[in-house]
Amino acid sequence: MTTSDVARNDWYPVAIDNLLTNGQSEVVVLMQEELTISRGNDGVIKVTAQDGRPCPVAINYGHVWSSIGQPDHALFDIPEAHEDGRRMVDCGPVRVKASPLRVVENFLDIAHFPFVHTDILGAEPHTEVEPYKVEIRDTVDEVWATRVRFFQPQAAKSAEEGQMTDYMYRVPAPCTSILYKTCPPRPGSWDVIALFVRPISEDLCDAYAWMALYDETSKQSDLVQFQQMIFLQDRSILENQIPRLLPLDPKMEVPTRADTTSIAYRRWLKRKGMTYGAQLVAR
Amino acid sequence: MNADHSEFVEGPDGWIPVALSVDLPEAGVMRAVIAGAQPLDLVVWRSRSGQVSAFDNRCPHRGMRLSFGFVRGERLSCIYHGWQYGEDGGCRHIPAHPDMTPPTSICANTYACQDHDGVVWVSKGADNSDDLPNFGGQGLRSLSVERGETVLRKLLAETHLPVSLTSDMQMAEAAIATQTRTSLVLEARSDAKNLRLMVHFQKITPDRTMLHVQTSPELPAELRISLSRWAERFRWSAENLGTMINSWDATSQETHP
Repeated sequence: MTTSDVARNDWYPVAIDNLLTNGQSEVVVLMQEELTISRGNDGVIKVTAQDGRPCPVAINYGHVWSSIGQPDHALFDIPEAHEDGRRMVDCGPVRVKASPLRVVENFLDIAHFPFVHTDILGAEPHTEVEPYKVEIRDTVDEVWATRVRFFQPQAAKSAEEGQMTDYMYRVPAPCTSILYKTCPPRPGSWDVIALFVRPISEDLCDAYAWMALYDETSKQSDLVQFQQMIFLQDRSILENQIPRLLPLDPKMEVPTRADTTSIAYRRWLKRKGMTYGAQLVAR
Repeated sequence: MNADHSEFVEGPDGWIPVALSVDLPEAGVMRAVIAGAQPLDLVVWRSRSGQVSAFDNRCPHRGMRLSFGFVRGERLSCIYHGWQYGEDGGCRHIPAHPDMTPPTSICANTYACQDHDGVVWVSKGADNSDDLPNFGGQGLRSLSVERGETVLRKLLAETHLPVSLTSDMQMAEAAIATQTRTSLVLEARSDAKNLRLMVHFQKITPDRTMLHVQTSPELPAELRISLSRWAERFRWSAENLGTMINSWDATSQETHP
């Protein structure tokens, strides 16, 4: 498998399922190729490339998924999506002028919370990142970070006061990251927040946030607004990192122990040969 | 192509003006670009105690532009993860590990930087302070002009300056009194007063230049305002060559598009 095949033959979000009505179509760009997403009057969704070839389609987690290649694997599973009592929230795409891999890496990072999401997901002087566990799970070919803990002034829309928040992170595909965090109204359960990223080119992407929450009281619009506020704070960082591509050369950027997840993510990308959106050699 | 084209390949040698001192106050942070085949993207900042420093505009940790950061005392703090750097570029504090002393290997790439004669200067190479002017000017304003430096120097040699405060704005011929590698001094030919204008050139691209303008000290505020408007008018004229730059008078002070 060549490097570009790894990126080509994966699934990416191309539309929000319930925003595409019967008889409607829209055009999106996936890895520099234009795709037409259309829903027939029978409700069936088809994805067609510019040269007329049909592309694979999967519908899950509120989104329509497709590929410009031929994925040899099914779309990853998010078991929590099938649990009773969760609210599914899709927050819509946000265009980011950065590599999709930078966007995913930022989603895996907690050390920036006090500085970028000040007084919401973090606040000084609570800046310390305690040791946590990171592994590349070879059986499923995923990156996992567990036993992550961080102090948060307002962990979620439903949170009323500061608390230590527990996190887990899961990277099931190079352009997808899922986080599990303490659920304020339901101790013992995890809220699930995922970021699905569609590469438009190597340094431009659309990021779709999707959540599966235990929250029966918040308004849908408030949940979306909260998540968008957080992500727009991230975007102001992501669009000002140099270079725009994610450097996979370890000499290019200096990590510390708090970056263990990012180190594993970069190593995993390199091992997979996922170089779309990455910079291999320092320039 | 411009006569000084080589500077856009090698980058200019010696001290380069990047800001008026008044525009970089204590605890101030700004971005500066220096010409070259690969232009240098720099962060220039002034510590609480007044010391100026210049680094490559990227945090060694995750590449974030340090010009988005904040000054905390004598350190520049990156906006992304709060990593703090001293004047020598060395990382002093990593908030994720507050009890750890950062290894000396974590270091921002630094440039020589000094505040001299009301201007902040940066140098890529060895320290060569004798290269710097001593005009004693007072900062007026900085402007970005879509023209190369050579053209701008020629146009300045032919300009007229406002010299009087009366409602009938008087213009006087100006002549270049001094010319250096980075700067020139314009002197108005007027018996009213010894009016001088110092212009420092910061090349950005062959067709874009930042002008850092100072006036002779102790000019009345109204005259400095007129000179500030003149600078805008000069920019507009330089960017729209063919328009007479000396035809400005008090009756046509409205801002041009």
